[in-house]
This record gives sequence, C-alpha cells and structure tokens, in this order.
Amino acid sequence: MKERHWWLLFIIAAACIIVTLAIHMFLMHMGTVLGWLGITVSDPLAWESTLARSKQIGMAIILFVLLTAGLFHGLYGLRGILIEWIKNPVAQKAITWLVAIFGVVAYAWGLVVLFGVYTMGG
Amino acid sequence: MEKGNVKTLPRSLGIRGWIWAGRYGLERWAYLFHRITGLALIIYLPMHLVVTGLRLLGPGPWEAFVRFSHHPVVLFFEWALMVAFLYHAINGFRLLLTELFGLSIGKPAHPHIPPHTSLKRQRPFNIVLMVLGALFIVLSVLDFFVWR
Repeated sequence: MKERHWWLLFIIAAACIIVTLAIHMFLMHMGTVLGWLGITVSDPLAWESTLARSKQIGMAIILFVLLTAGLFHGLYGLRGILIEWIKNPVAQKAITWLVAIFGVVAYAWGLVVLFGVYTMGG
Repeated sequence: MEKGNVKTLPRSLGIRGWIWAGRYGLERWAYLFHRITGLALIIYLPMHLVVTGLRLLGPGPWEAFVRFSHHPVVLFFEWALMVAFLYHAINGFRLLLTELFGLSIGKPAHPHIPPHTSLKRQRPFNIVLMVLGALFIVLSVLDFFVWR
C-alpha cells in the first residue's frame, strides 16, 4: 500500500470514530442529558452496567469498530508527527515499525478484552 | 525586495514550527491544537484499554479503579482529556467536511486575496463549531464536577 492509501484509511477511520465515539461518550457521560430526553441510564461505571453494556451485541460491534478505527487513526497520527520531527530515514523506518508492532499488540489486547467481557459469565 | 534583506526561514521548522512560524490565523491555531489534543488522546487510549481490561479480573479490581478515578486530581485530568476529545472531535468534523467533502470550498474561480471562501464561509463555520464545542465543554464541567 502506498502512503496515500494509508492516509485515506486514516480519514475513513476518523469518520468511523466520529459516529462510534459519539455514541460511546454520550452513554458514558451524558446520562443526565439523556435523562431529560426520557432515556434513563444507570451509573455507567458500575460493575453490573459495564458488563450489561459490553454483552449487548450492538454495543460490542460499536466498540469493535471504535477499537479498530481508533487505534489505527491515533497511531498513524502519532507516526506522522514523529517522522515529521525526526528526519533520519532509517529512524523513520524504525518508528513506522515500532508504531505498527505496538498497534498490533494493543489491538490484540483490545480484542481479548472485548471478547473476554462479551463472553464473561455472571 | 533585495535578496540580502530577506530573512529566509528553513524549509522545515520541526517542532518549533508548531509553536511559531510567522503570523498565525485562526485556522493555524486550530491545526496546532488539533495535534496537541491528538497526542493527548493517543497517550490515553492504551491506558484506557488496560483499565477497561481490568474487568477480566472480576469486579474487585474494576471497582477499586473506579474509586481511584474519583480522586479530585484524577478527575481533573480526565476532564482535561474530555476537553481535548471535544476539541479534536469537533475540529476533526470540520476537517472531514472541508477537506474530504469540499464543503464551503466552492467552485474554482480566479484567485483573490484574501480568498473569499476561507474568510466568508470556512471561518464562520469554524467559529460556529467552536461555539458548539464551548457548549459541550460547559456540559462536561457539569458532568464531571456538578452532576455527581
């Protein structure tokens, strides 16, 4: 893939994040405002309610999209800043690989968490 | 202008160029804050993945962390991050609409300085979005420090 393809993915990821993160943030932080609209939300950080949320298939899909797009968008942005700062081509290549490896590890961990909580008993 | 009198800037200013590279317009500040808030968010995301992963260990570690997160200092940093998120989201929304879909750019025309579209359409749009952002920041203050 050429750089412009990664860039396009970066922008598409941004569009995905705007939708999914808006939902995530509204549920986590705008409980009072949602209450005014007649939607009751229980304490979003309580153990039972985090579990109930993560076990809904719709929410799991939203979080999956958010994890995928968020990690890619964030790490590609970080790489962009780093290689703009450090000019040495060898170092730039190393940065790209380090960021990519970090991304794969973080993504694997994120999937373990998502799937683990989704299939958790109780 | 004579060549000797012109102070030329290097082609790339590196990190220092973020802070100052001449007279900045509103959009240039918007770009600078977009980068700084972006860095804050990508530092936060892996920590968020670790913390939400605590749930795999059962309710004990999770509830201990939630209690820790109610500490005023932690709460303040979380709120600062919320402001970074709101800015990055709303400014990013503007960038998507303008740069990907060409909203408010208009049809090609003869060059005109200053460009009509940037001052008469893009900047007002930017300001409207920033007002919206300020509104959300007020809501976030209520969410973090009042409604609890």
